[in-house]
Amino acid sequence: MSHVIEINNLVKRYKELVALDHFNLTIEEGEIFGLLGPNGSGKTTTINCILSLLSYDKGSIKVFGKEMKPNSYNLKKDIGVVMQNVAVFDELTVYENIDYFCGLYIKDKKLRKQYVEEAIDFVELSDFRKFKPKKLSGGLLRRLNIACGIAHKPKLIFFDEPTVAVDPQSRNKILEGIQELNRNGATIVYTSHYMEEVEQICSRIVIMDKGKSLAMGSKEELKGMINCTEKISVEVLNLSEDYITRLQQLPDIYQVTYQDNLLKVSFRGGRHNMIHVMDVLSDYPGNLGKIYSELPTLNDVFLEITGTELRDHA
Amino acid sequence: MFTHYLRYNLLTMLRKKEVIFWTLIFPIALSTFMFAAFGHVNETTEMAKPVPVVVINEQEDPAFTQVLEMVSTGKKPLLDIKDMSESKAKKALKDGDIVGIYYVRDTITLTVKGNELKETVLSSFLDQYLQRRETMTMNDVNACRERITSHGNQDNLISYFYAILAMGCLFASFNGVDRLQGLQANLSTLGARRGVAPTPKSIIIFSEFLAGLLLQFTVSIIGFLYMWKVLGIQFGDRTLEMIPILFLGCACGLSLGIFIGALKIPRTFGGKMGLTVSLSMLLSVADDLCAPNVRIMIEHHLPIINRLNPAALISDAFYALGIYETNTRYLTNLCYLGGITLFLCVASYLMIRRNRYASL
Repeated sequence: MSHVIEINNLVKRYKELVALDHFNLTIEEGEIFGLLGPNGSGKTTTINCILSLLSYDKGSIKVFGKEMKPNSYNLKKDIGVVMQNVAVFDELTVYENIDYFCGLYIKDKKLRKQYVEEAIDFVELSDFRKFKPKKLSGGLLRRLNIACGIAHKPKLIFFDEPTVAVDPQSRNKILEGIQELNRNGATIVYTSHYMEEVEQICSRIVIMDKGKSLAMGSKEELKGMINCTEKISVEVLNLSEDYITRLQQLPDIYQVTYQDNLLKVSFRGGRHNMIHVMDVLSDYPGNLGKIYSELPTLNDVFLEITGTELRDHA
Repeated sequence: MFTHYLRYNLLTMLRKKEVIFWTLIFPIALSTFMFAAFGHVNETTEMAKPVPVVVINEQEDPAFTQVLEMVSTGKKPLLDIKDMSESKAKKALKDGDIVGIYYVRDTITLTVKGNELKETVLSSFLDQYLQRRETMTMNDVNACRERITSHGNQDNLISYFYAILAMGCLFASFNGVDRLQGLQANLSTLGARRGVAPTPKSIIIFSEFLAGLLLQFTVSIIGFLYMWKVLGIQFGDRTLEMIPILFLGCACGLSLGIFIGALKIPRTFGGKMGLTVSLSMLLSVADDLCAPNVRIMIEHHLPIINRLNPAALISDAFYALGIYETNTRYLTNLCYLGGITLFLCVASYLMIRRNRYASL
């Protein structure tokens, strides 16, 4: 596999604030690569630096093996961008918007028409082609935003938080669409602070915070980096300290917390953990509520690395 | 490919109600208001009427007498020389019956009441005579008359309508700022999207400029035709030559907006638009929009301002068409407008080409 993007030692400062702190990244061809981090972690700054929209203080950026500059038109023609904020002309219809932006990349009129039609079908906006953006719902507007960014069939596509303020149905359609683009050969760079989305579609992920890369790898690799391997939650009223002490003495125990009548027992490896927990609670005099076991999420990875929850920042 | 951008630029401009309002509706409404307020402008307008003047000969100057005779007779007399004593002449000047008094002494001087347009005719005539008296031939005398012979509307109030046309051209600057906002990634997401496209900014800027110019020029022509044909304002008999003024005026206004849009400061769109509105209004005020003779006053005290003020250049070009038969002053104004436009366009391009922003 060849490197589609190579970032070395990138530093970007906004006056005193260090937005990217010696950031390194390599993205391979054919990946769906996720940039995961809370708001302000440097995800969008990274993308804007890659796209040569932002200047940076130090480091180098290569796209398709070549240095990216504002006038790197040969590189830009193979790149598609779906901006975080919707970037379309309010005065143009759905069809006209897609045609205009596609026209920035595709000169052949006949081919462009075909691409525009395919993009409209792809985002399922066929019934809205003559609508102006103000007449579209939030979800449809996002889909138009996507169509404008991908109509020219780029090899590398940046999706910068494309599902913000989108209803669940549209969100699923967008995520499915991104996977389809990837299956069709495009390398995807996807940023989000929704860990579920990143977990769902990304083959490799970098977790960012305060402009730094905290961890990078597949979701399995990232989860393998932390101690917790299983979390068992039990709804239980007025649990005494004695039970917590006994739970802390279980084999492979990592952490026991009890808050708001919810008992959380985390394990670092081990087998039959649920049975062990239930053994301890078997003589509990009251009724137990819901009992469930979870595998660690990317939020747990973030929590263990930074000490705060990803959700707290978002 | 260029037509692709041009087409969509025109579409987006035409569908923007604010653009149409400020560039077309507002100047038309203002001219209608002016017409209603100064409706007598056409009643008092006297096309090519000789300027009444008295000559007090304190000393003999046969050449000047001869020249005066030449320009006060014939098919298109420039001056209407009244015969009266100095005291009566002063009273007539005070009453407005004559426009000025030439005193023929060692040097010929002109006394006028104020700064009206017709007084400028007398002043221009005298200036030309004094410059060429030493070498003057009969042909020169004829040429002198021809240069100043009025074919246009010399009424002072026509300058308001010139100023409205100039203001309409300057309002193209609003469109210029707006279009440039859509080209800069630090001002709009549209700018970011277009900034990552593989199309050189020069092509996009030129297509934006051309679309803006086509639109602005068209609405300026509509506004001009409205004043001329609907309101019946008499612009003189050189109306075709007014078209290049409107064209270059629109180009200059548009490039002014593009230039302000490209400036690093102010950083926000609101700030840039505020600066553009303020500047447009200031330049228009300096061009007699709110009060007469401001431009002439500036010409006397700080003429460089009038050479750099597109509104003044536009109005002065109109004025030159109405006053002079030769094209020197008219063409000079057009050259200044073209030069300013070129400078603003090149400077704007240099400011935004291949730009990476410090923050978005």
